[in-house]
Amino acid sequence: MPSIQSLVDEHYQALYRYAYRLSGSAADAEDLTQETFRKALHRLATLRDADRVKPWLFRILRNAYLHRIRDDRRRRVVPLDGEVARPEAESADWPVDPERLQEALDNLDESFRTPLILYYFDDFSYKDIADQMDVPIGTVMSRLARGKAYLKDALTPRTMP
Amino acid sequence: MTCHDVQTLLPFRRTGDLLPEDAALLDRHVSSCPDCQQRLAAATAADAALTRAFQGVVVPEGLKARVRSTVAATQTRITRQRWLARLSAFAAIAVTGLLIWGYVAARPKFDPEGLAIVNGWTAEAGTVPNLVFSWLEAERLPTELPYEFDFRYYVAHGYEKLGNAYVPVIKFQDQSTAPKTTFVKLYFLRPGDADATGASVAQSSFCTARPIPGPNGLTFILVYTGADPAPIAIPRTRSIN
Repeated sequence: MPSIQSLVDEHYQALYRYAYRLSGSAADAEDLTQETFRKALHRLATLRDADRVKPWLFRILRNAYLHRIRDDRRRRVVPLDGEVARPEAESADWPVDPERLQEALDNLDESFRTPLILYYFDDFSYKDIADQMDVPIGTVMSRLARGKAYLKDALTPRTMP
Repeated sequence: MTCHDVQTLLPFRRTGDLLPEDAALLDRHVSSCPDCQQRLAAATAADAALTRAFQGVVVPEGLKARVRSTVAATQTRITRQRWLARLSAFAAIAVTGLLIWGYVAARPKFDPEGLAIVNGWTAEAGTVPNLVFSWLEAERLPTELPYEFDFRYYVAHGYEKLGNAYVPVIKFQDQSTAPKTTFVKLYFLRPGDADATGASVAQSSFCTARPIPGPNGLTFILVYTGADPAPIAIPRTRSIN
């Protein structure tokens, strides 16, 4: 089993980026990263499969984030539940501004934000995302499709009339 | 596989959720379909752009050192807590062990061969009864007994293991009836030793066991050979409760 310090060295960047995308705040992201490793240290003995460390850490972080926001009355404003996913905008090369991306993510509910973040952090399959969120794979696919359509709409450069 | 199938399965191709045989079918179709090739290229480019953007978060300077420091401090705290817990457990075991050892060492041993039978009174007449009653007082047992005992038949006093409990007992024996054994034993059954509620006289072919309610939930158990404990023990005429 890996040592906690080796886990820090290997995963602190990915966790911080995930925490930042979740929270939209550098300060919160650092707090969440610290909290995740503290909790991981307490639970290291429960980690059964060393190959599943990354999803395990991401799950701890997400739960810590959800715990923080559970009393947050400020809800994200962009509802995607009823939105029909449009065919993906086919663009071979479109730049994406990371800050605009964060603004777009900040407007999404966590239930749509998390699958997008996990999907684009690589290594996370639909099954991994479904396990992380305790939802069926079909739900993950649906939320991803809607989320991706929303992002592309929000991030695609508009041509001036 | 059709172009529509490819469009449905493409997202799974990226995440590795496709079965190997389906991935092979998809790749074979794409390799021969220009429209699907273009679609795949666009999706791949879009995903790549979003991936770069998602991961385009600047990690603060010194974060790794700060996290390592936090983890090290937490490790120290956990180690200290575990040692304190072990120390507390060890201390509790040690104290309990000392208490048990002290109790076992201090309690009188039941040694029927260690004491001579007192026959008649000597210049130190009264010594044995005083010894026994002093012991009863020290053990916080009642000194007012349900029977009058002739201490010329006294053998020993101490503890006998009954079940899981060590029960105080005084033993008397009439050696004159040898080889036939004639004895009387008075047990002091405390509430924590066993539940003697409702116990009645029990008789076997050899001896009789008679429970007698005592003070504060205690039960005397008089065990004697035959059907009558006299002349070793004679019942008091008045109640002791």
